[in-house]
Amino acid sequence: MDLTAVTPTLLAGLVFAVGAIVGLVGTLVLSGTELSLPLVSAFGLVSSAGVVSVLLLWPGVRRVFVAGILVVLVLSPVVVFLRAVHGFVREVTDLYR
Amino acid sequence: MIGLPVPADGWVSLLFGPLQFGFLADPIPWWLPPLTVGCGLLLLGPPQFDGWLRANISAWRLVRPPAFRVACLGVLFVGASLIGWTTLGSARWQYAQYLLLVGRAVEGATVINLFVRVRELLSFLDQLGKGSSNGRATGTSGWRTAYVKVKTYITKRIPRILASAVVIGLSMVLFVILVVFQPEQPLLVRIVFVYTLLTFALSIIGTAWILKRLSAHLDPLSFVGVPLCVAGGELYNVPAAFDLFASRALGGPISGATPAVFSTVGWTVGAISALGLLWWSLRG
Repeated sequence: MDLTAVTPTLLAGLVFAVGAIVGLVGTLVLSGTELSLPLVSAFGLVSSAGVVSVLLLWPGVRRVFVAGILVVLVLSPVVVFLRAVHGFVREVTDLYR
Repeated sequence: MIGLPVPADGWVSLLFGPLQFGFLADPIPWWLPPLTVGCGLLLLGPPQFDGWLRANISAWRLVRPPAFRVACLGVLFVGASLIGWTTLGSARWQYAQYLLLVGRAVEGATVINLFVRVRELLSFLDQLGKGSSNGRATGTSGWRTAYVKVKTYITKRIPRILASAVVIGLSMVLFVILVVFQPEQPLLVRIVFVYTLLTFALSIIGTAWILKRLSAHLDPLSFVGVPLCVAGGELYNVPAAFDLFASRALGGPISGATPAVFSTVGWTVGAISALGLLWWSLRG
């Protein structure tokens, strides 16, 4: 196997696909009968196939997908900051009221 | 008296040389900063995303147990991080510094803990004033209360001091072991290796210690994720491009100081934001 052919995008596609299958099976096993089996199966397969296709085949859509990922990577720490500060400020405000 | 030839760019260059200084800025092992940042992001992202999905999509709440939901999102974040990290390309160090900035901002927000302390101090002084009358009733004096307060203050800080001392001690032992048993390695490599691990450990301990004031407002994974992001940001190498820019603009190799600048700016922004929000909350 040529390891140099394993690009991060391909690796990410594999992670997404494996994650979708594991998540699908795990969800069905852990949630029991509360979820509709055909609906979840269809959703899992379509989403994993769609994500991998987008990653590997369509550069235009891939750019939007990557932009979304970058937005999440940038905003996640800010959300943590805002939540923590808001909670702490509310605690101190209650103390002084 | 014989004068030493001083190079045009000063004594720093004479002592270390620009290449060696740049080498010192590179952490060893090289994979520790990206791994730390990656782990920090994986701990920060999935719980936030899970919370949002839980609040907005009722079907998502049916997936149980909650840890499984977070684990599934974690897998998605691994894939997303791989793509995001690749796309960041040469801007990776900037992203690492951004994480450092946000992490320090969270730390800076804990400055409003000062108001909690002031409240406690006023309450304590009040107790001290009433100490004689209460003391007769309860058998304790104001000075006894003061003694307990001071003792508690010191005792609370012992774990951090102890942890830092253990880390410093272990680093010294590691350095001695490397000097004795790895003589073939260049001395500078051994120094940088020990220094990188020491910075990593002390940064984790220091940040986690400060953040414990916010522990009630951070989920457990974020409580670990923020220190990892901060430590990764501190460790992350500043690329040569910035070093060249800094050297030309300011006349010296200052890239090693960049994380300190981001730390200070982040802390100040966090402190001002928190104080502003507190003022606005009390006013409203």
